[in-house]
Amino acid sequence: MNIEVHLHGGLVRYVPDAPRGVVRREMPAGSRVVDILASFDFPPERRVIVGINGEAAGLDDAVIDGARIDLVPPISGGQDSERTI
Amino acid sequence: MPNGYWDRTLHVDLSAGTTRVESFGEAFWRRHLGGRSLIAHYLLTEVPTGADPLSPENVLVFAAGVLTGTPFPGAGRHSVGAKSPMTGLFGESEAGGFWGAELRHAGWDAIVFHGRADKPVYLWIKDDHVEIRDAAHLWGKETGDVETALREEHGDRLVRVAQTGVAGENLVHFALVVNDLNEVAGRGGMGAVMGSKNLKAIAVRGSQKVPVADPKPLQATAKWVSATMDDVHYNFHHYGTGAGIIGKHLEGHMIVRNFQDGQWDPAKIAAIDAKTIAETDGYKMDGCYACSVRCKKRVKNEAMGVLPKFGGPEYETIGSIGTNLTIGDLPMVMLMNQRLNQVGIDTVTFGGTLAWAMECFERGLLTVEDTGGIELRWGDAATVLKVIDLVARREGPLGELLADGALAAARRLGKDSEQFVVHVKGLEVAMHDPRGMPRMLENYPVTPTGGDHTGGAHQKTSIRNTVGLCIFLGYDDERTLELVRAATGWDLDDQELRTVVSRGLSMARLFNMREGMTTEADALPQRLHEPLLKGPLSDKHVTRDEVRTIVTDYYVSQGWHPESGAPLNGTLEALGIADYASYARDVAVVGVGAASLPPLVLGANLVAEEQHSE
Repeated sequence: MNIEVHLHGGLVRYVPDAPRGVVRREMPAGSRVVDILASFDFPPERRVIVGINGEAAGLDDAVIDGARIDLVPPISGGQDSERTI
Repeated sequence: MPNGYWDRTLHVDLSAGTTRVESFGEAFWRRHLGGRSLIAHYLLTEVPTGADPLSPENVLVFAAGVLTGTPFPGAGRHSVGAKSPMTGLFGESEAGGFWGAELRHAGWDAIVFHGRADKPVYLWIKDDHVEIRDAAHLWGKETGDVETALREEHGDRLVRVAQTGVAGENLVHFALVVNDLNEVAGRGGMGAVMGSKNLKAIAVRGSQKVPVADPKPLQATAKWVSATMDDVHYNFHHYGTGAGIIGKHLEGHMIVRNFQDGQWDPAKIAAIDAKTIAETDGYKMDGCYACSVRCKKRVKNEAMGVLPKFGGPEYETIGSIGTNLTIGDLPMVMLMNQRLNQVGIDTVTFGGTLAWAMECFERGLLTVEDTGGIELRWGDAATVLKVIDLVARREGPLGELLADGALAAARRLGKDSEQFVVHVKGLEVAMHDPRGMPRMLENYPVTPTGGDHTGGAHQKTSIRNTVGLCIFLGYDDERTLELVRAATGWDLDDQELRTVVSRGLSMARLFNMREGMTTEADALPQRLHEPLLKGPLSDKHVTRDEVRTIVTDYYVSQGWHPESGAPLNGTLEALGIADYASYARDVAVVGVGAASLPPLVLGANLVAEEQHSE
């Protein structure tokens, strides 16, 4: 299945070939959020907020074909924010 | 020869048309370091108790810190302070850009304005030359025209100008002071105080280097910032503030419809976030004095008349006039941001006041009879754009109603509409919802300036607002200390730096209590005790007991009385500021304070967490 991943803020640096932070991924059917995160070279301690089609998602949530995935560092506040705006 | 400061404060008596220079000596500067602490000194010692903030009795202070204007990234900050017309309490707001550094390069650490000129004036500073000049030709003009006129008048395109806009001239209570056209001391109405003094602008040009004891750590820091840009400042360097705000929506604490919803349409959020702004034609990043991070947006839209010189919308503006009013039209957000800068209005209070008005209109509490026929609807950008000018000029019933902020408007309107004002101490809450952000829950109720996310009680923001260092720079406490030591040559340690922060907070507390503030003001408004209507936090409830516990713990950590919040005698003595109690005689400072200096509030466990903040 095909998905579109939008990386935000400082996560954009991990996709140097996509300067605007938008990448397409072909993933096996049944893939979960954790599989998508594993397809990027993020440091293991990096906390990432995940959205699927605008709704918050957890690591074990399934991804559906054609979904828009947002990967956001906690720069905008939140329980464990390292930064706030 | 001192280092890190000139020991020169310029006093300008606008009533008498005279100036004088004040020097304190080393002990004073080591005790205060500048910024917030210097402002607290002048508000306590120079402003009579109960003074009307817009009367000649108030002072207006422009204060640098010991790092302002020294050559490394983040050293371009200065503070503006006065008794605030929004809160009637301690007012302080900070700005970046080049103006503060230029003031220091002219050989001054601070300016204190007293009284009121009998006609519009501006202050011209060129190194030692100081002159109060006629500003009749500038009065009524917008900010871009004023800066152009002053640069032409002095034949120098590098003259730096801080000014109040037409909103300040009209005493709009949330008028700001803007410098370099796009950097603002936005919160608390400092521009209204400036307007009340008939002071239109301060134009500065300097030719000196700020003396520093040891330039090597400053140079090493500048190199470190450049060498680690991608690792430490990638986001700020490429997008500035406002990138990834979809994260607030996903976590459920985005500011939407006057703090009601917590979530909004993801497509509309994406349409106005910093990443989308970075993709617009003509967009570029720019920086403040000596800063390689360059986190400031400049946007352009020829069709809309949006010019790069007025900067671009930062997060607080994207939130306050974008998501909060449900306006997802980027060109209009850019245009409204520019218009607010041109007339000199704080975007946060403006957006918060409009959100209150829109909610009241929706509920039928505010009608077209009250607004002069204007319908106030969520998402109606064209109307909001018109309201900016009505407010700036106090035109029509709506402009007059809103020009003093939401709390004043609610008290005029009545109908129990005060319950919908999202404020702390009379200042509209910034675009961070404490229901989703524990740090803001610990910050807003006790911040001396009210609903302000940067003026706060946290160690990092407080010390940086004092020494003149940007909170966006990813310096740890150790480096911050090293920078202050290098600039001043003093053998400060971490505890002494923390003590300066405690000193400024206790002095601000003395001022606020002297002006009649009670513990009831250390609270959150009704709206923030209600659950959000949408999203994952809709079942979260912040109780008043929870806030009261936070407040009491804060008092104790500061060495203040756990019930009254008054600084204890022992605390004032331990901080070396017992002399200021005589300027706050009605404040019952009692009992024995902390046996040692109070450990900073929230300090130790938050320092590591606060890597850096937008």
